[in-house]
Amino acid sequence: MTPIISAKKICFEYFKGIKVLKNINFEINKGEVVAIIGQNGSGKTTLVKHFNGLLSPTKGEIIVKGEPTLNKTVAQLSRISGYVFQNPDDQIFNSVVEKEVAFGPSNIGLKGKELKDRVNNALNLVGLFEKRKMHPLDLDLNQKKLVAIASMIAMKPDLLMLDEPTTGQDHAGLIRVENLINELRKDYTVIIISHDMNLVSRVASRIVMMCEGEILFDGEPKKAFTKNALLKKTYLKPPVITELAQSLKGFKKDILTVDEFMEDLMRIKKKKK
Amino acid sequence: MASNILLSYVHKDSYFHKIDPSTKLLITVLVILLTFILKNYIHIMILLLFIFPIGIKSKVLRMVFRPVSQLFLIFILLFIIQGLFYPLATDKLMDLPFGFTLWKDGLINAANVGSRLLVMMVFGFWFVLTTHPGDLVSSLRKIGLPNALGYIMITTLQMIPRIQSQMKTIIDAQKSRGLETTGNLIKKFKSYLPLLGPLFMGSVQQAVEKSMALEARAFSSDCPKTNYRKTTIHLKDKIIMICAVALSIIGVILSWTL
Ligand SMILES: Nc1ncnc2c1ncn2[C@@H]1O[C@H](COP(=O)(O)OP(=O)(O)O)[C@@H](O)[C@H]1O
Ligand SMILES: [Mg+2]
Repeated sequence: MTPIISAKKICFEYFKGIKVLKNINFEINKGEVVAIIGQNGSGKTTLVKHFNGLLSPTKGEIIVKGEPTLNKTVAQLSRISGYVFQNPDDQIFNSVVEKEVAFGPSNIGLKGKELKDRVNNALNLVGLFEKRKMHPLDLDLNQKKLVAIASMIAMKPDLLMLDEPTTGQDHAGLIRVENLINELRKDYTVIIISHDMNLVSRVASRIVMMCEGEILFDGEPKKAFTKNALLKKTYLKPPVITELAQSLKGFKKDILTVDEFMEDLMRIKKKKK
Repeated sequence: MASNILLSYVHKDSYFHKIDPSTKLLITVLVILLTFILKNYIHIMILLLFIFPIGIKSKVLRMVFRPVSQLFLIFILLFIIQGLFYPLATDKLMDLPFGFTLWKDGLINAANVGSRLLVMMVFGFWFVLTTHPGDLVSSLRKIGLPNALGYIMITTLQMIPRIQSQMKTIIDAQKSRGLETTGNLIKKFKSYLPLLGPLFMGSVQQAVEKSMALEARAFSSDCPKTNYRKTTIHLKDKIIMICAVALSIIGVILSWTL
């Protein structure tokens, strides 16, 4: 199976001589939910902007669904890889939510009922169907973020890239994002950039840790949070439940969820008897 | 596109970067006045020659002319339109096919207007490129510019680079949603329309937030204020100013008597 995105030894610099990405190799296959984590400024946004052609590597190449991206426009690539910007205010320009969501799909030639269905489905998925007639600027930041995500979902790309959808969300917002990702994983390949380790550890099938323009870890979440030296270097903090388990004697060190913790607790209790 | 025409301060280590902004402002204003006082394009083009030593000494000569080359088309149009349709034309140069006539005084008028424009632009760009907005305001306040006006000036100047980068982000966001920005002019123009909304909204929002942040830091209080960026008018500034004024007067007299 050809990967959706395959980045081969890419380097990137905004200004000559300052490498923001250093020799990155990265692949993502259909059905994966990859979380990219790392400090602010580690190059996460810069990396994913390569996947829809907004940035082109200064060295190396990006292959999208088997084809090099060199001569493709962002608009062409947007049918395959959909990138949702961190700040929804940069893209929202329509006066009605549903028109805003319809902008993308109508750019790629959808009309009439098909367009309407796409829009309604996308709005349903993010839970904003009831607000479809509202002015987007009357929504709060979290809802605007969801509108931005919906406007990408409505284009039905193979890959959805969500840049920090959890930043600034309250608890209810976080739950909504988590549910949304669990809904999206059924039909889409997903890349999520997030600082919320609790959420990441629950939803990701794979974790990529970035630090100063390099990928220092790429693998299962269970392995990611047991590498203490690495976590220290990247200033990342494991999920709370993992930290708790790691600080208690006898527990497994790679616990990621409360359920796993409880299971392990039962195992330890049994052993004591 | 448009973003390349907008210029802003570029930090360089040069003589003219270090002199007082008021001095540079005086030079620029004098030059602009001169372009109107001088009689014809030959004299105005002599004025243009001054940009070469000044530009080289400021290390921005090439940057000064870059936007001019982008406006080349406008200068050509100016000559075509004035040459063919100058309303006060009396002096025929030659007949052209299709009943058009090329007028000599039309062309001369175009040269006068064009050279004026060119000189103003070149010196204007030179001023903006070599003068840090903060220094400019600090210097002007010293010679009596009210605080609020100074603030308006500085935010306007700072807006240029900010709007540039914001425009890029907004264009990128729309391209990511399948907006094709290549193609013919009409298509291009249409594709840029969706950008205006977020740009305008963002600016208004930022202005409101900025004004609140300023008030929270006692912007409108009455006590005397200090400047973060310090500027002083040195002796060399005074000498340059006097020389500039003297040169201008000599230039005007020469232009009128010759
Ligand atoms: N448009 C830009 N121009 C110049 N430098 C940039 C730009 N965007 C990001 N950078 C720099 O590139 C580095 C990586 O940034 P970014 O990819 O945004 O990091 P992250 O998304 O992980 O926070 C940072 O050092 C940042 O300052
Ligand atoms: Mg980022």
